[in-house]
Amino acid sequence: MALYRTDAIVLGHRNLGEADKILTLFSPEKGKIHAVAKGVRRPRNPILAGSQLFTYSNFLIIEGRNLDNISQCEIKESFYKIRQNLEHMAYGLYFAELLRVSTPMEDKNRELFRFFLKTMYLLQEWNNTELLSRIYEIKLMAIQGFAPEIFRCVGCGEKVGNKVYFSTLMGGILCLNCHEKDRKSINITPETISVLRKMLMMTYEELEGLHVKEYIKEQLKNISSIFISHHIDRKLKTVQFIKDISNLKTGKSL
Amino acid sequence: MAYYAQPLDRLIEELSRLPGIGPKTAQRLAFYILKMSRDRVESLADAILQAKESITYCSICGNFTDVDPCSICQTPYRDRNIIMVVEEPKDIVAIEKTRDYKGLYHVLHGAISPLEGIGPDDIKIRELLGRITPEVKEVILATNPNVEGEATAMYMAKLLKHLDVKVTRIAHGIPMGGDLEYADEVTLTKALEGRREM
Repeated sequence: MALYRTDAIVLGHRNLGEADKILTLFSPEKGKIHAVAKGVRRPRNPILAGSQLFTYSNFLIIEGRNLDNISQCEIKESFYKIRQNLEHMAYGLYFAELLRVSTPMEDKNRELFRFFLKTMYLLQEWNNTELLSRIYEIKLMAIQGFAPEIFRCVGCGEKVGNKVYFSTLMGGILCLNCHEKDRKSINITPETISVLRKMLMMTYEELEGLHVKEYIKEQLKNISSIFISHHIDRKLKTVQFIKDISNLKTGKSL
Repeated sequence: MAYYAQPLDRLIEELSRLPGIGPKTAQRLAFYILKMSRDRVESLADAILQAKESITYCSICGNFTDVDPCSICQTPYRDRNIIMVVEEPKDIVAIEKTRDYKGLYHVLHGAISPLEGIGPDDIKIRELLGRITPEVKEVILATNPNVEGEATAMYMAKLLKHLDVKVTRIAHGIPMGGDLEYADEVTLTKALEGRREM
């Protein structure tokens, strides 16, 4: 049986049998993989801490016939700070789920791994989790090959004027003349498009202090959610938890 | 082609539905049951039925019980100022074994698990809020120290903040008989945070 060593971050887990778990790992060399962590539901297990969600570790894995088995792991970053704050944890879970559902099995992508790791480090530091989330969504979709065309009209290829529409179906913005091509296209302001362009083109560091007006936030949230659900074709379970927490803030819970 | 007689096949199938029991174990158990005396088989079947019929949830704490309210909620000797919140009824057994805790319990029957779509409305948080009377002085959050347990604890801490009650979380650290060398960094950090003067 072959052994291999790889860095990986834990994206999800599922219980298996009495004391084991199947972990969903995301590795720069192997892509998204499943591996069995034996005995990790018992205390004092040496790989217990490394099997926790978000943990970034170096794993020693034994190849199995069906599923691989984790033999050892050494934690590089536990991202514990994310777990100490409810809002950060909710977004961390969302980021992990979005990555998990948008990535096929064993499709290695170093750029995506570096991007995700950086996002997790920033999630520990940034207070504006909503801004981070919008940037993560657009950048992730771009890396996965679903970048929307937001510089020219996808209908005619011309520059758009003051009236801009966003079409998920056609994968980008439409001008006033073309917006009839997709009746479900949403009218958004040129300012929103400008923010979206910045989010797509600039780095996280350059975007850190970006001030986004309330109505632009709403428009971005709306188009982002429609765009993502169109491409991944399923409902994300963690979105409801983010809503639950914001209800908690506003006192609307339970 | 059927390998077993139909009743035996059914028994194996029923047993293999139990958690942690695969087809081989189910087969072994089924053959063992066949070798058992009729009295013992009857007693086993009766115990399963009896447990299923008589055990219900306590209307106060949510623990498994044969009398409602359960013996812990009924007894006058327990401290009614403290409620410990746990995920599952089996956690109560673990805490009771310490013989150190004399307060009441509240069983959530699960933990918030956003990745599986289990939200705050799917576990018994609302029932706990109804139990917070002026008599209750402290709520101890004893959910598991994993992501789901911590999400549940933090969510409840935020909810209970508005009520006039002290909210505490159980400590995390090095297990008894453990070895510092093999402890992971998160556990060690938590152990350091919770250090005490001697």
